[in-house]
Amino acid sequence: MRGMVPNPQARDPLIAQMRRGALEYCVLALLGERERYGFDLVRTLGGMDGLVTSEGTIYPLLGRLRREGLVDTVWRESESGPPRRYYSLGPRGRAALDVFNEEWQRFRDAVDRILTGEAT
Amino acid sequence: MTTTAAGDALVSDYLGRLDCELRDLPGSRRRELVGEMREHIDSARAQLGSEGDRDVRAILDRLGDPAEIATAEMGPAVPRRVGAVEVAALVLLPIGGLILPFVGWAIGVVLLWISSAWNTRDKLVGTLLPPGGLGLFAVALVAGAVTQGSTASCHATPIIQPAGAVVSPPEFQLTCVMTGGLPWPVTVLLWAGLLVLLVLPFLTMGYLLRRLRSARRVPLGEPAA
Repeated sequence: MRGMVPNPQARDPLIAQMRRGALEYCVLALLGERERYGFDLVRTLGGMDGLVTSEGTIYPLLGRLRREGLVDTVWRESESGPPRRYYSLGPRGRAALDVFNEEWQRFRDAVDRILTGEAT
Repeated sequence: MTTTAAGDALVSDYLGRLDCELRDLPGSRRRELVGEMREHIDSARAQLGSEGDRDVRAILDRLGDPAEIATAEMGPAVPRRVGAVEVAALVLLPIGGLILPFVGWAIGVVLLWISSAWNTRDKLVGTLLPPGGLGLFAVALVAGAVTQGSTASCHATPIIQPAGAVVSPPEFQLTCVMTGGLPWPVTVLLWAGLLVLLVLPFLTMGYLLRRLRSARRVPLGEPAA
C-alpha cells in the first residue's frame, strides 16, 4: 500500500527514531510553504514512501509542536461541514526549520559519501 | 458521498478503542485528539465515491493501531516495579492506624511518597482520602458513641393481661426515649459520615492498586530508565 513501510526491519527502533526526528521537520517544511488543513498535511506526509508508518501518529506530533510554540493553529470555515483546524508555521518553527535544513544537508551528504564508498 | 451504517460502526469502534488507550491523558487533550482523528476520518470518507467496508478499513489501517497513536502521544508504556514498599504502603494506609494509632498510618504515608510507582496525584489521593485511614473511622465511632450513648433512657411497663389469662412469666413493654439527643437529620448525617469513613479507605486502596497495574508512560525522547 502506498505510504506504508512494507518490511518488518523498518520497525527497528533506531530507524523509527530517525524517521520520527526527520518527520517533525518535514511537518515544519510543509507548513513553511503555506498553512494547511490537518487532514491534507497528514495525507501528504502519509503518501510519501517510507516516511510515516501510521498516519494517526502525526496528530500527537502536531499537538506537541503546537504546545512547543513551533506551529500555530487557526479555525477556518469550510464549504461543507464544521469549521476546520488549519496549521501554520510560527516564527520559532521557522527558525528551527532553518537550523535543521543546514544540518540535514551536511548530515545527508556525509552519510551518502560513506554509504556509497566515496569517502575512502 | 454516501456513508454506510457498517462504516459508522467500524469508525466508532476504532475511536472507542483509541479513547480507551488515551485514558491516562487529561480529559481536554483526550477529547481534542480523538476529535481530530474523527475529523480526519470524516474527511477521508468524504473523498470516497460510495464507501464499502473495505474502504473504511483501509482508512483506519492507514491511521494505525490506537495503541501506536497512544504511544506517539504519551510515550511507550513500561511496567511498574512493584516491591515491598508498595505492598507495605497499601496495607498500612488503611489499617496501619488501627494497629498503631496514627503512627502506623504515618509510616504508610512515608512509604507512599517514597515509592516511584505512583504519581503526585495518586500520592495526594492516598494521603488525604481519608487522613488516618480506618483510624479516623475508629476515632469517629468512639466519639459518636460517647456523645450518643448517654442520651437514651428506657423504662419497662408491665403489660396488663385480660382477666383469666394465664401468662407466665409476666410480659413487659420496653419504651425508650431519646432525651437531649441530636435532631434526627443530624444523626442520619453522622451515620452517613461514619459509613463514608469506613468505606473510603478501601476505595482509595483499590484506586492505588489499579494505578499500580496500569503502565507508566515514558515520554518519547526521554530515557526509559
